[in-house]
Formats: sequence, C-alpha cells, structure tokens
Amino acid sequence: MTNKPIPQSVIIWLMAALSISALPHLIYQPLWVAGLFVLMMSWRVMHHWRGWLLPVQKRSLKWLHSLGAVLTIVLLFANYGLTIGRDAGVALLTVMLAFKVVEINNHRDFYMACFLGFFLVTTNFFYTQNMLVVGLMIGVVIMLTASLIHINSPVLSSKARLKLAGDMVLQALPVMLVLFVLFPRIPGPIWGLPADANAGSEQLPDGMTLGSSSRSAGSTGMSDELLMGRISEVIQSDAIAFRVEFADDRYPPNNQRYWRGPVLWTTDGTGWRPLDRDIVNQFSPALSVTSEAYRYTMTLEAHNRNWLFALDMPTDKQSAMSTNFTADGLLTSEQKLRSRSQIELTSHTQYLFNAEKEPLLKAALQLPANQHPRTKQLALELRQASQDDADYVQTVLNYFNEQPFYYTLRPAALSGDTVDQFLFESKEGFCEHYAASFAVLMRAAGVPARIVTGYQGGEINPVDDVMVIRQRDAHAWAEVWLPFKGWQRVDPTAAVSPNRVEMGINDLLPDSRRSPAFLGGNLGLENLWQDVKNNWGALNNAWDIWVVGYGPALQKALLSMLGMQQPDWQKMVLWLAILISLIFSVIALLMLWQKPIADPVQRYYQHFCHKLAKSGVQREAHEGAQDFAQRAAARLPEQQAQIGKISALYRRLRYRQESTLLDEFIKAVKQFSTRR
Amino acid sequence: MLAVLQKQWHRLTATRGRRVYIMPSRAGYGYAALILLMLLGAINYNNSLGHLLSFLLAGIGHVVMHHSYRNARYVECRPGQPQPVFAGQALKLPIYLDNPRNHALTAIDIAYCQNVTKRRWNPLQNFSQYQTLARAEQIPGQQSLLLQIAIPTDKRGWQDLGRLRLSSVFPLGLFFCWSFIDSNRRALIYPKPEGQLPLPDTGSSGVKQQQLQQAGRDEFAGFQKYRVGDARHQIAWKALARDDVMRTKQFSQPKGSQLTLDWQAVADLTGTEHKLSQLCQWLLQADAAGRSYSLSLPNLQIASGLGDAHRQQCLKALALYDQ
Repeated sequence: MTNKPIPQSVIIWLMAALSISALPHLIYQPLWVAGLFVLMMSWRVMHHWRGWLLPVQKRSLKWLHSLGAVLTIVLLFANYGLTIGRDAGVALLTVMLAFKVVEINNHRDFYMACFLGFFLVTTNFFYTQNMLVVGLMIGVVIMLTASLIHINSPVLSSKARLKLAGDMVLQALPVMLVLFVLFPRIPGPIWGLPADANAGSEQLPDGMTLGSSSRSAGSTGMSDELLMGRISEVIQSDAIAFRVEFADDRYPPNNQRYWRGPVLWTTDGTGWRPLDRDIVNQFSPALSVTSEAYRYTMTLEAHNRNWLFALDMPTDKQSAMSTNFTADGLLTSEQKLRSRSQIELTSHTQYLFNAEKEPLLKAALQLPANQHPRTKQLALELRQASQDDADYVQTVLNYFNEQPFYYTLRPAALSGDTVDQFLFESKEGFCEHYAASFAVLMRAAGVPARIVTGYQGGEINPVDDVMVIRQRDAHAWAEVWLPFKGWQRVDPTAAVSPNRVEMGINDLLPDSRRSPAFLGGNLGLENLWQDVKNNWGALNNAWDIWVVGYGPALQKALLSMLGMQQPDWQKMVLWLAILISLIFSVIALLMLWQKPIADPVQRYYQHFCHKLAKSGVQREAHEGAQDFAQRAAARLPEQQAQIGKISALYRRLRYRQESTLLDEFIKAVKQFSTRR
Repeated sequence: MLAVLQKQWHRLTATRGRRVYIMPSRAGYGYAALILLMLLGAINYNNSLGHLLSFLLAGIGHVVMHHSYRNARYVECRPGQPQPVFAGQALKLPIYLDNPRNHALTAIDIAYCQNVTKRRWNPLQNFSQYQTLARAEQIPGQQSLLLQIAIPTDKRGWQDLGRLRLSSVFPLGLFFCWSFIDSNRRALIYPKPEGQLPLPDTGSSGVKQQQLQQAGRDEFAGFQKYRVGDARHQIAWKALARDDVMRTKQFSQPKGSQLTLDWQAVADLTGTEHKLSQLCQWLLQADAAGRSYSLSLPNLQIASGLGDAHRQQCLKALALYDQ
C-alpha cells in the first residue's frame, strides 16, 4: 500500500484542510512563514491546474525544494534564536507541512501529511481555546477524514465521502465525551515548558515606569528586570483577566472592587519595581478585619505568573491550591498559573493591615537622591500646611483635584525628570502617573507609601451573574502607612477622575470600544447588542470554566458531584472501561443491525431457510424454492411433509398473491423444527 | 484425545461461519502514535482542548474499527469453475461477490496465495505470501458483482486453488480487516506447449497402419452425421441450411499421413516435462491443422480422433500423466 500512486484530486482536499488549520497561525507568524506556505501550496495547485512539474519529476526542482527547506531552518533560527519554543515550533511545523505537500507522491506521504495536519490543529489550541477554534477543529477533522476516505476509495462521490466522515465524527462523540470527562487528568507539565508556552498577548506588567520608554524598548515586558509602563497598553485590550462569582449574590460596590496585584516599593526616579521576594518573605502580615466578608470563586486566565489578584485582603481560602500571603498583602500561588485556574476565597474590604508595626518602613520611604527637586519642594510646602500625615494625604488629593489635572489614556510623552514634568508641566496622565507622583509626594514628606498594581472594577453579566474583569480594568493606586491605622488605600486617580473608580473604565473609553458604529447610536439596538453580548459572554464563561478549564481539580469536583466517592484514577479508569465497552457494544449493534425485510412472506421464508441451514441444508443462490425444497426433503426425510407444505404455501403466496394464506404460512414456519 | 478436540473445534468453527480478522494497519499504528503524542502535548501544556482533539481522534479510531469490520464482514464470495489453461498461462477464475446487506460494501481486495500449506509461526509472515489480484471498488446493497482474477500457473496437473483472502482497509486505512475463503476448487493445467521437433508425419511410427481411410481434410470423401465433438469448421453449413440435418464433411487422407503422437517419438528429449510439452505442441499443431491424431503414452492409449472432446481428453491425459 505504501507505494501506490494516489488520485490527484485528493490532494486538493488535503490542502484545503491544511490551509484552514494553518490560517490562524499565518496571521501572527512572521511574514516569511505565510509566504513560504502560500508559495508551496500554489506550486501544488499549479501542478494540478497547469501541469507544473513537482520536485520528484525534475532534479533541479528537487534541489530547489531542498534549498527552500534549508532556508526555512535558517530563517527560523534568525527569527527565534536557537531555542525552539512554542512559536518557533509552530512555524517549523507549518512550513515543513507545506514543503511536504509538494512532495506527496504515494500513500505513505499522504498519510504523513494528513497526520501532521491533525497535529497542526492542536497547535491552534496553544493560542486560543474558544468555541470558534473548536468549530474549526471539527471542520478540519471532517475534511481530513474525508480525504482519507477518498484515498481508500476513489469511487465515492465527494458528497458521500463528506457524509461518511461527518457520520464517523458524530459517532465518535460519545467516546470523546466519556474520555474527556473520565480520562484521569494529570497536572502538567510532565517535562519543561518553553518560555513562551502560555504567553498571552497582554498582561499586567510587574513593574512600571513613567515616560516615553514604554513603547520604544519593545513590548515583551515579561522579564522581572524590565520595567515597562505597560498598563496603558494593557488597557487597550478587552481580553478577560479573570472572572469572579460571588456567593449569595453579594457584590462589593464598584468603588470597593480593588483586585490586588504586585506591590511596587523601589523606585529609581522613573521606574518602580517590587521588593525582592526574599526580603518580603522574612516577615508575615498582621491583618485584622472589621467589615463583612465576601465569598467568591475566581477563575483566573493563565498568565504564567504567581499573582492571584484577590479582592483587597483575602482572609480565608476554601480551595486546595497552595498559596502564600505575603507581608505586603499580595496573594500568590506556589505554582505559576500556566492554565486557567480556579480558587475560592473570602475577602474583606475594611481592614487594618500591619497597623501595629510595619517592618519594611524604610523601603516605603526610599527615594532616589537628587531627583524630583520641584516635587520634593512641593511636598514640603504642602506638609507644612497640613496638621498631620492623614491631613497631608487629603491635602495632596485636594491638590490633584483642584489643579488642572486630566485623566487621559494617551498622555504626552515625558522625558527627563518624569515626575516633575508630569506634576508641573504636562498634568495629563492615567492611573500610573497619579499613583507614582502621589507616592513620591508622600515619601518626600516622610509618609511611608507604596504603589499597588492590579485591577479595579469589573462588570457583572446579568445572564449568569458572573463578574468579568478584563485587561482594560488594569489599574495602579497607592497605599500610605499611618501609625495605628496601618496601610491605607489612597487612589489619587479617583481625585482626578472620580468616574474611573465609581463607574469603571468603561465610561472613559471611546464610544467605539463599547458598541459598534453600525448601530448608529440607536438605543434599542444598543440594548439588543448588549443583550447578545451578555448572553454570548455567559456562554463563553461556561465554556471557559467547564470545558477549557476542565483539569484535575474540576474533574474531581465534577465526579464527586456525580456521586463518585473520592475519585481517584483507579475508579476513573474502571468507569472509563465500563462506559467505553458499553458504547462499543451499542455502536456495534447499531452498525451491524439491519432492518428486517419489510415483506412478511419473504422474512418468514428466510427464517425457514435459516432453520434448514442450521441442520446443514444451505440454499444456494441459484436455487429456486421448489428445487431447494426437494433437496431439503431428500436430506431430511422426517420433515418431508412440513418442508413440502411450507414451500408450497410460499410459492402460492409469492407468485399467486393468495394473501389469505399468510397466517397459515407464518404458523407453519414457526412450528417447523429440524430437531427430532 | 487430540483428535476429539480437533473434531469439536472444527464443528465449532463450521457453525460459527467464516471468521473475520481485524488488525491495525501500519497507518493505524501511526495514527495511535499520533494520538499518544498529542495527548502527551496536551497534558504537558494543561491544554484542555488538546485533550478534546486527542479524544475525538481516539473516538474516530474506535468508530473506524466498526466501519471496517462491517465493510469486510458481510461480503460473500463464490468462486466459479475455471477453464483449463496451459502451464505458464494465467488461470482465469471467475468470482461472484454477493452483498446481502442493504448498505454498499466498498474497496474489497481479493488476494490469492499459491502455497497456503507453508504456514509460518508468525501469522503476519503468512500475509506477504498473498498477492492482491483484483479489487471490487463497490458492491451496492443486495447486489452481486462478478470479478475475474488471473492466477498464475507454472506446473501441469491439478492445481488446488486453495485459499482466497478477502480484505479491505476501507474507510480510513487504519484497520486491515480480512477473512479467508477456501475455494474448494481445483483447476486442470495442461503442459506448456513447446519444443522444436517437426510433426511426426512420416507414418513410420508404426501404429495402426491398416487404417487406410482416416478422417482428414485433404480430399472430400462425403458426408457423415454430426457427432458431438466434431470440429466446427467441418460442419456442412450449406447442407444444414438446406434440410436442417447437421452433417460433417469427411475428407480422405493419403495412406500413412495419419498422425500418431507417440511417447517413443519424443524419447530423445530429456525429462518427462519436455516430452509432454513437445507432445502437447504437436497435439495443438495437429488440431489446428484439422488432422486427426492418436495419443500413445506408456500407460495410456487414446485412439485417433478429432474435435474438442478428443483434444480435451488428450490434453487431460498429458496433464495428468504420471500423477
């Protein structure tokens, strides 16, 4: 079978399937990947269409083809370096598959390309796992299956092939579902992951810097050392950061929805970064809470970091996830969040944090020497005008409120002493600028302060009552430490733009981000649009939690819910075996069962023949009823009378249409027995 | 004891009908490896949809097994009776394939193995002996198909047609499903006609010289009533058209020109097969010339005659000589 030539049209099908599964990759991969892919596919298409020669047909073309493959490797290294990560691996697979298509010459090549095509579908899931990609997956699987059918039977029409492939995919669904639910999920990774394994397009940076350097230095922003002011970039994204489901439908008010991320302590004048973990972890936090508790379940998207973005101060944890609550009030996970993860928490929004004693006070007062002279001057003036530290905080907030400061997502670029320039010249910026300059003003006056980054706000979807926090809700605010009051949250952005905190970022975004322009501002249509969006959001939410987020933890929870006590892999495998055998038998029965013949005369006559066949008298295909009866009677003399009667009845029913004899015939066949 | 068990086993297999086997093909093993690889990747990346796709492919693999079995299970095969051929010629064996089901059966291959008797311990090695000879692309539901396969021959005598293998990899080529059909047929293979010796025309071979008047074709000698086996070209068609009686034209032959195909005449040739081949060659030449001939083998004498029946009788005698 390996060296048989293959029908040419089957390759067109294969190429269509491969192109569809490669399409999402071609969009973000470097241009040469798409270029080579299209080039190779066109070569094969031109072979069919215009009879262009293929590499196997001409030696020089073979050289050209090999040269192209070498060029791919060179481009790959030039583009991605020597380590093969996720993106590089996908680029390699995509281009090599296209090169393979030009070479397909026999069954074996074809199967190889087809199997690699299945693999290419999987790679899409490393980037997106939404319902659209699953639709694409099913479409491509049907097409590839149809092309496998084609190569095994060239006589079937394309419609019949597609129908058979579709049927097979449908029939495969029960096994797929059972395996999906019951196959014991192992928490990965089994071996190392490439660095770019779960890299999303946007996420909160772990440091920030003011001024113009944010865009010029590239946009990776993943390293712990690089400090990029990426919050404004993050705000451009509508991607979901996490979802929260509150127990008992009790939600904190909008101005209390502060989701704490990395805490920034150290500044060099332009950038801010967290304290070394080792220093922070020497201490433990002292937390006492005063208000009522909120219980909620968070579903965090993978961001390859440890941060968990709890609502303010988490006080209790119901999940098994091993976490750490740091001395600066950040909830972190032991493991990096490499996949969508769920955690159940209890939080308080009114609290006293390290009220008695703050061990890191010195770090909260650090300022670079010889920088921000004007800001320091302003701090001293304002501090002298205030009675105490608490009053000073209010004075600074009033200053922000009364002076002509503007909240904008596209501030003018800053250079030089960024804090001074922002406070005294440009006076326009977003949360980062306000939080940073506020912290500098505090520290300059001897008030311990730090910056907290995270998310503020969250929209509740009325369909499933799940609060969705998106990347655009990214925020930065300040905290000051006051004796006996501990760390107090101060959001200078709220002083400038109260709407940002009261209503969420949504109102500050341009209209085009909220509803599409073609609705033309029609209120009814916009409400409808919102409804559709809410329902779609709820559906996606369920999908993300139940399908995409289905992992070891959720599997245990679901199986316990279904009544399996203490699910472990033995029980899962046992149930898997039972259910798969069941499905196996059901499918076998459905496929092998054949509708009985509609005509009762024919059916009972076959029944009669079957009975005779059991005792060794097989009716030959060419044998008429009468000849057969004679032969059978000769072989079974004791049943001679019955055999004669039945076949006589049969002939009269069948050829003379004496339908009144039917009952007698059926009765005779039923009574007929070859046993003595 | 063993014989009793064997008998029971045969009874069991007889009542169970034909056995159908199914194994993953090479592509099937590749497919399994692909699923495993994908699953490993999905586990490593904690990728739920990666799991989903691997499981979908596993489900398809499972379903394909059923489809493959159904496709190969129900085809019924009735080998016909082949016409005798000369050794070295391909034996044309008609095969009726019946589909008793309502659905079509697709891409059924018929393979043939010459020496089934050489069983090997590794059952997979038996496969390489089978040679695919024909393929039924599609047998529609409740219909039959007639195929003809050409079986190579090399030795004269009875050739057991042995086993046929019906197999299919439809629909995806992931499973190879097959069953064996014992044809219970044997075919007669005549010796290969070859040899350079001229026809022994001289009459010196000394057999039945007293028969002066032999049926030949040189001079017309009158009509004779038709007998089954007479050569067709000898039938008097014009006379038949006139009065509806079948007659054959008889020709007289000069004395001594009658043909005797004698074992002694080929005594110079070495080897029984060469002798038989030469005799076979002469026989065909004589038959083509319309001359009557007799055959004389060490153990068998066939009187002089002419026509299909005579020719077949002689050829059969040659084929089965010393067997």
